[in-house]
Amino acid sequence: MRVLLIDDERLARAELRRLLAAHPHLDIVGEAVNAADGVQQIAALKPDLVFLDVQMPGGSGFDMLAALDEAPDVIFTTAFDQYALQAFDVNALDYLLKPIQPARMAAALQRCAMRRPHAIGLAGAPVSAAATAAKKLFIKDGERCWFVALHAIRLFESDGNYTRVYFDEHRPLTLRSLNQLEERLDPQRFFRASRRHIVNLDFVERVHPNDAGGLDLTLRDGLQVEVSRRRAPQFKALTAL
Amino acid sequence: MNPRPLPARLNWYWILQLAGWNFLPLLLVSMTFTPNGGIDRGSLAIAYWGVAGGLVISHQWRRFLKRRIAHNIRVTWKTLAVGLVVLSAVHTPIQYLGYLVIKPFGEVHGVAWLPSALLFWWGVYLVWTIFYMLVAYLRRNAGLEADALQLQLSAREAELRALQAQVNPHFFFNSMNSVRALVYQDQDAAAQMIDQLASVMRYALQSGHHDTVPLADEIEAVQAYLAIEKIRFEERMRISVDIGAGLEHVRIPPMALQTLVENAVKYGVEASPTGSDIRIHARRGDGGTIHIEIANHGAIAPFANSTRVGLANTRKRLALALGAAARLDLTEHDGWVHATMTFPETR
Repeated sequence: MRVLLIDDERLARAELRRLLAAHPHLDIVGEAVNAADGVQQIAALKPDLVFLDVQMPGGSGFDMLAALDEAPDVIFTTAFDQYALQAFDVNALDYLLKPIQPARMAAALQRCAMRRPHAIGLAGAPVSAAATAAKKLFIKDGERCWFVALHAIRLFESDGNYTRVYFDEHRPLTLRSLNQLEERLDPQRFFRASRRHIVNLDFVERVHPNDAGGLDLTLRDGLQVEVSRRRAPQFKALTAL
Repeated sequence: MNPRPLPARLNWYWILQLAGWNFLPLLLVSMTFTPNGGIDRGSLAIAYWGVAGGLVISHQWRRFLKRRIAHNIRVTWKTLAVGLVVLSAVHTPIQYLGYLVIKPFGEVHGVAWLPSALLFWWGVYLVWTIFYMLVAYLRRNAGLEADALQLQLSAREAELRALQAQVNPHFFFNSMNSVRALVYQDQDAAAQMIDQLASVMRYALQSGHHDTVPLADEIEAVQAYLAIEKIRFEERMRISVDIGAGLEHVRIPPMALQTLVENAVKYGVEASPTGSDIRIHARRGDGGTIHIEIANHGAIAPFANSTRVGLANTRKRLALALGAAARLDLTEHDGWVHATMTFPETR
């Protein structure tokens, strides 16, 4: 597993390195010293796991994650911001309090390994879908943050420069365009229904042709999404209707 | 030992109680005094019978009233009116018993005396109660005022303590993390860092004991703090401290400078990838004023509520400890943020 360390303090990074030496299956591929550096290193090194300091010069760890197209697995490290972390709605979130205790480190790494698809092997899911399942989006809307697995997202809805993301009972805004998101999403699962919507096909419950020659989709939670006439054939091909 | 003044040590209740009740036979004597008859022993005896009864009954009445007042139960006019009737109704038979025993004016016949006797004792207890309630309320008000004053004083003290005991947990745990790393890299440096951390913590925790400390003491703690932060931030932090000659003994509220330096590190060094200089400069100004300035690179953070709170606290502490003339200004100039304490030199 490829690991990247992001912390502005050299000693803190050295301490992480030393703690991780006890886990030889981890390969520390690099270090970053601030948020901007972190974004670059993640893009260049494509790590599986990032140890991320919350408080960093030039933007917090959260700001850095929100700037990423795709969030890697993250273990936050922090001296005294656990209250800030607890305020976030991120189930998959792990954090370690500095100074980090070796036992806590081992537990966090174990939880992280459990979450990885090859470890759980999603029942009946093809390999590519499993890969998608592992992918996550980090959304920061105001003071609230979410780490959301892509497969849990029902719908992306364009809203000006922002995109509203529907998952569970939440619908935060993210500063990413629908086009930007579409490029990264698995086309087998996420369908561009119209200029305004990308819908997760797993959540489509009913399909009805509408008067405009398009389709009306009803999602599992009752949300209505229209497929434009131009895109209706694609939808039919994709879902073998 | 600090003995309370004599008036405070006297039991004014019993003094007034005895004086008041003895006034009654005196009145009686003056009324029955005849130039040739002298003082009638019988009248005096029955008068003191009444005094004794009055003392016992009024003392019980006082216990009742006192308990009500102490428990903040309102003593209503109705309570008083009923009480007075009961008191005279109790005292009158006692007095009647006295007449039967002492027989100052011979045998008692009939009940014609009853209404006037009831009225008389009702009047006596009315006067007693008016006096008692008057004194009780005057005392209670004085007590309340003293309580309010005491409360104000202790609130101010508690506030000062709370403001002073601002140990920054973020700093503490980050330092612990650095020490943990240093232990494996450079044991001497680790030991030194632990010493510095200990002195910073001790200074912060003891700061509540003094209203002001010499600048030299505060600077020493600040230096230890900066040495720790230097280990954390390395070349990202550059420190210069310049204390004008003879300013070592200037007194400032403890942790005032420390708080401002922590802010400078937080917003100058910690928030910037390239770090910042931290300059501390103390000098004498015009007209016997002292200026202590803390400067760092950067801009005044527009939404940093935490700084506002920290500054407001420090400002308040300066005013509490050094008087209303003490000031704390935050300015931004040429990419530098300056926090400046200005206060008149004392002594």
